[in-house]
Amino acid sequence: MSAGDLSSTPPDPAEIEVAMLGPGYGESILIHTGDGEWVVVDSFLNPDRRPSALAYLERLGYDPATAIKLIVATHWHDDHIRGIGTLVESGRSARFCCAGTLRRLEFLSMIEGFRAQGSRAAGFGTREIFSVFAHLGQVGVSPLWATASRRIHRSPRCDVWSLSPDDEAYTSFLKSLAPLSDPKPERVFALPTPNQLSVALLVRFEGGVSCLLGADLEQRGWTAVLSDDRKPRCRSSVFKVPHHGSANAHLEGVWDKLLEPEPFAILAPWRRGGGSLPRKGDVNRILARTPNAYATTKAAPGAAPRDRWVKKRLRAVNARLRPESGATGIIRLRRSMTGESSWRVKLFGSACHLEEFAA
Amino acid sequence: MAQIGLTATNPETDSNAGMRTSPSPPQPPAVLPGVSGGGRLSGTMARNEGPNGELANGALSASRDGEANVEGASNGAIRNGPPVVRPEIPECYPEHSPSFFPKQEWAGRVTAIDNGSFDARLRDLADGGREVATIDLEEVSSEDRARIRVGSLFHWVMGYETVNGTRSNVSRVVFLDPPRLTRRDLERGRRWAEWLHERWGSE
Repeated sequence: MSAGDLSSTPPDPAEIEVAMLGPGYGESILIHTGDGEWVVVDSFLNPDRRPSALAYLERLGYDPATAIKLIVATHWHDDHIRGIGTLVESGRSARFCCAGTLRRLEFLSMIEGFRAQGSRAAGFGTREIFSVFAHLGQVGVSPLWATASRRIHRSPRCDVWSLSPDDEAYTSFLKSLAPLSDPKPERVFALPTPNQLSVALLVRFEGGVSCLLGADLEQRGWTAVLSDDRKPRCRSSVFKVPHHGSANAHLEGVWDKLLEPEPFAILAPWRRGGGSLPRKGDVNRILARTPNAYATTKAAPGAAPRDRWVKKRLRAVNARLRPESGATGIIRLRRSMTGESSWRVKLFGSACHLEEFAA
Repeated sequence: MAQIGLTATNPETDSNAGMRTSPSPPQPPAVLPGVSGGGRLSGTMARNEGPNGELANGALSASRDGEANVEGASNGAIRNGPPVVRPEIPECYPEHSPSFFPKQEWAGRVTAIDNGSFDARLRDLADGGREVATIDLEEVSSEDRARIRVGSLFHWVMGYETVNGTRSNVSRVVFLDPPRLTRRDLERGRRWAEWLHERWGSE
């Protein structure tokens, strides 16, 4: 995103801002919780390899070292976690939060094992997680461990609750780690998809406004959230649609019970070689629930410049390539904490209304 | 197809851990067992140089960009075969035969497999550019096709080969074996994990 694209006016002290950033592969959400304090959820890298959240805050005139109060890694998928180590080291007054399941000795042993094997073996974003944990070990500050219905952050104007992962996801995760107690040379170790361990968040502000951030939590996880009586009772007016709008993360009950009618739904599309999310059906389903739906990017990035001979060969072997990510788009929602009826939406860069999204 | 053992050491092993000075966590050894023997390349190439003549170890350090590879939206991505560890895109060049001239090389990692093709994340070995791709399984040898899994690492090269004066175009995908954690890896990891718990206390 070019410098001229983004307003550099920071929110007022009593103004809430929810900014969702995404380049087509990767997402990061920044929330102004009042009085110049920010919560950052997930991270991706700008083309200059700097975390997009840091660049965003600096552009608004904030010092990340003091402005960021909470950093949440919802899970360790690559499109959510790139650069989070740098973010944690830069946000010196922030606490770091991730799924409580990651505190297990078995998991920690595993990520050190992969790191030690060298970069070829360090999968699942474990290198970023390792980097964060190593830093927090050095400074002697424990992460905040997210579980179902736990308040993980409190400020004068806001509190933040983790709604997941639930006990069943935790148990499943433990089972997946069992082979680590007896590694065999012929065994290929597999971890479950971390989507099941995603940290969904509820952010509540003074004045009764709240936002539901769905991470990549899928249907089973949402079923657990809905049946959990311990969570705060409120309906949110902003919904970060889980798992890039995918059908496997959609539950009608979430829209019916946890959200206001026609909430502001925001999502970051996800693209890989053969497909992308959301699909056409996902777009239609979301638009049927709310006209206030937005995506951080509207189309697949264009093809990379390439040697003519190589282009010809690619055609000959029927291979389809495209850049991993395109231009960053930003969906920005702002409203005052009290006395204003709705959110003001502003789109920057490649962000668009979901109707314009080319699924 | 011949199995060629890679012997590259990894400069990242001791430098990117995020570990600093006191209090010191348990330190890993300088050269780790999983690096030298952990990645076998199946292929028939013979010269230890990249496209610009650089040695394999130089290529390793040239591509240290700090990424951590994870497949987002992975549910539903595993469409064929059991799940495996999903390592990041490999940072090594294969060996090429003297008669082969590479024009384009990528390191890749499989993200999904369908009936006739697979999806992958790629890194251009010349400039580090990231792309995603859908590649026909026909590009893969029948032997490799049987063992391809989500998470498999591979090297994809396009170029031309001159044999007896005849030049032919080549597109070749070769797969590396997946990494495996050893008991020793885990014991070292356990010491680090216990150190972390000690530092973090009971919170």
